[in-house]
Amino acid sequence: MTEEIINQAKQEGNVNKLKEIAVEAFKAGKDDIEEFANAAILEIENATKQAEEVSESEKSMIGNQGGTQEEAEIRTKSVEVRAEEIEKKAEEEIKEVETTNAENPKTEEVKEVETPSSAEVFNSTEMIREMTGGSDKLERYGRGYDSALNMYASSLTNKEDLEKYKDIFSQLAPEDKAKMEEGVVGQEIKNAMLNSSVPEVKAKFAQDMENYSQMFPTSVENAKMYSTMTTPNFDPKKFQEMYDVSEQQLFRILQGAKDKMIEDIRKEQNVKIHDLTLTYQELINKAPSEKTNLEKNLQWKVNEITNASEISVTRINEEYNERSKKISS
Amino acid sequence: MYVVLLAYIMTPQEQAQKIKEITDRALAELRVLGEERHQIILDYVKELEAKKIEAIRAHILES
Repeated sequence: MTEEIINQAKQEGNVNKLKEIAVEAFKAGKDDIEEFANAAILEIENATKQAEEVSESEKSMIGNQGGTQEEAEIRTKSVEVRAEEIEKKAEEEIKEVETTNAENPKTEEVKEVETPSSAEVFNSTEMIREMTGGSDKLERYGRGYDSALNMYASSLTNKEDLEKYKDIFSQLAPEDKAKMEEGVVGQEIKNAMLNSSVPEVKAKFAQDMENYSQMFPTSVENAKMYSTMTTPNFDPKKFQEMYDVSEQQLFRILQGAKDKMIEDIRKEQNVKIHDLTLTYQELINKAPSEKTNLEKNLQWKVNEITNASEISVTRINEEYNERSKKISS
Repeated sequence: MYVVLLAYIMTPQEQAQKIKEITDRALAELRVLGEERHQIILDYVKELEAKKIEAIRAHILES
């Protein structure tokens, strides 16, 4: 793997290629530190963009008060410049660490060498945990793990790939894999529902469902349930025919989907607030003099998350009411 | 006794640790900058609000 390949993938905006590269590195364990350095640089680049970017809620606040995006950008220009400086400096330092050893190899006489191989080092869960800061969350969302998870999602429709990369996939948490399975299977179901009047699609849908039901029975059931709430232009008759269920059964499936979606939103809300609180606690520990301001910001963000969740729950309830009316009409 | 080529002065673990330290520091600095940027936006919004209120006040007093 060379930097050129990574740069080309970045220039082309080929995220999948980058993910593949990271997955391969994750799997093989490289003899050099290049992949880890590139992953770190990408992480910093993303964080820089995040620090610079005006969020949708901020844009909306500015717009509501008659302000302009241009003015906001002028006022935040100095932050942007400093963020770029931090990014540049960190990238240079990382490159220096990455290349120093390669430029200065040395030869020594030794009786016995008992160091772990690079593959052992980079494949060990302990090392990944150490690299990503030691927390389960970071480990789970670390670049290698995240890439492997995406690789898993793209392999779900290909049995050969599932077999080929099973050593990687065995390292993924079952609950994370389940989410990917539901996402992929759910999308297939949704697409089939949208095109169910096309005979070829209907036939393929039946075949795919049979395969998926064998491989991921729980995911298929969940995806079917969610599709009653997520498929646009809800047509109860179509669903009854596709899933071979009665009107009453369809109504219960819809209700189950609504309850589960609201439960998921509440869970996500709690996780976000929890993570945010930890992040702010860390910032407060680093800068105690900023405690009051940071606490205010935290409260503002918590309120924003809570409000967004309430809006989502209201929308789901409205959607549910409309769909249940369609079933009974 | 035999000769081996040690390709690195630092072990991969040491290199990874060093890179991780640099990354953590940069991410922490960027998080603080992100907060600073957010505060600038909040101040801008407050300023706009104040201008709007001032305009309303002026309009009321004129009429």
